[in-house]
Amino acid sequence: MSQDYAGVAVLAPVTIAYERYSDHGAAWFIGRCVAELLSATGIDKAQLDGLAVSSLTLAPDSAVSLSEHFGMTLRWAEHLPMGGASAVVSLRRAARAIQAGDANVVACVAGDTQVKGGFQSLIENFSRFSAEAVYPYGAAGPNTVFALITRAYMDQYGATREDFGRLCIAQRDNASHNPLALLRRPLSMQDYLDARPVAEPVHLYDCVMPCAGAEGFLVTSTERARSLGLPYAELLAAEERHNAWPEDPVQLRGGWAQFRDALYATAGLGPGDMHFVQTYDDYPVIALQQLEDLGFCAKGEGPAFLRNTDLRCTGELPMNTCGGQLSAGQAGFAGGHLGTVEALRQLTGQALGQQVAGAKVGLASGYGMVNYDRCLCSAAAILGAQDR
Amino acid sequence: MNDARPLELQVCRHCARVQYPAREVCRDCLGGELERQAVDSAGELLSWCRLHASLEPWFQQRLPWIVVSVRLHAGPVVLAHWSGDEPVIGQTVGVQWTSDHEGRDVLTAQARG
Repeated sequence: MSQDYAGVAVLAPVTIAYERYSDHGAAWFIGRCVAELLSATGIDKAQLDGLAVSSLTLAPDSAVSLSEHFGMTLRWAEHLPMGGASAVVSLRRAARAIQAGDANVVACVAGDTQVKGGFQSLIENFSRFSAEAVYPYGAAGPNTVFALITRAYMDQYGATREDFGRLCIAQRDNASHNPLALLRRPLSMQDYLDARPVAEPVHLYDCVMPCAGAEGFLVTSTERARSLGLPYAELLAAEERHNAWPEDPVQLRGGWAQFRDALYATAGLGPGDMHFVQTYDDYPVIALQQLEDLGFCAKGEGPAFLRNTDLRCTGELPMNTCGGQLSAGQAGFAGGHLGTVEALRQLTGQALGQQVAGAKVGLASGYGMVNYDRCLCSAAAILGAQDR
Repeated sequence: MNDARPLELQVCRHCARVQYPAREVCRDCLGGELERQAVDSAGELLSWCRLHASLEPWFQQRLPWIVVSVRLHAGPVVLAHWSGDEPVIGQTVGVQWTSDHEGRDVLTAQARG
């Protein structure tokens, strides 16, 4: 079991409003996010000595380039190429830096831009394996890989399109309260089922809307957060895995299933103690796998779980309480930060949309980097309110 | 898809593990000598999808387009274009190299009795 994260405070959930397309570069979204983190906390730019950045469209620049761009001298810098797992991983790294005294205040930010026509080159050159062994097969981006995973999951565990529809509809209900979600109009089961096919069995509402935006939070010591009078959450446990289960022919489980027991043991809590869960929802089948692999139901029981569980903010297990990427949009790698930032909002009573009543502990998970036929990074963190 | 050729993939000279996609070193022993060799072209169909959207005009004019994933008996999982009737998960298929519209080497799978 890992050493605990005692003394670490996570605070200042910030979202830079998503736009379908933007003329700004990724550095604009990341820079505006850092500015918001500072103004929300009253911390001076000179006091910020750590910066963890994740971005798909910042290349060839990195966290290092941004120190000059933003006029900051850093004691600690981290650039994370882990896509949707970067939020939890940057939180882990930053927490250890705070515990070790290597940094006093770390900003963990992910931001991306989205230019018209820019999606294709990103997809075509996402990784060496995918350029050679995925893109030539129809040039449909991640939809191909996740359609293959979705059909294999449906075949193996008897999931139906209606099951995935329940998840999407519940999240859209959560999004209807969030002014920053790009998709807020209620979604009916008929709308969901009638949507145009994109990569069967994946249809339109199983896909996220790519957009521009940023998400960020600060990590510091509980002592410093208290002295500044800022509301914070504590990190109770966090884990990551890369290239878990490499011999599985199809990715029907993620790294979460490998570290789940250690994660809950570190927190001294179980899945039944979570007041909400923020899963990485690039496609509904992946969110469903997280519910299974993180112990909210047994493997293969995800479809039945969806039939019997209300995932809305007022339900038994509120999931993706701001609407998730399926409704809020996917601002590149910031899509992975969305859940962690929303968890922080819920635990500090700062929800943009609906507040989950009595939310004291919750789980945020991440998933990223479709290198070939699956995503390689999985991560999860359990966060607790300061007065839990 | 035309110009069908037998299935050759990288094989590790040290441990004989078959590799796909092509690598610099062996995924098992990290050996640095990988040679293209003929391998068993048969496999099990793991999954399939029917594309209705593509980023490339050539495919856009030919939608819907079926792509399959196959676990080769030789070991690796490959994505391949599909030739034939609607695929069935679990069916035995054969995989071969073909040339696509841009002259790239691509894999194509079809049912094998």
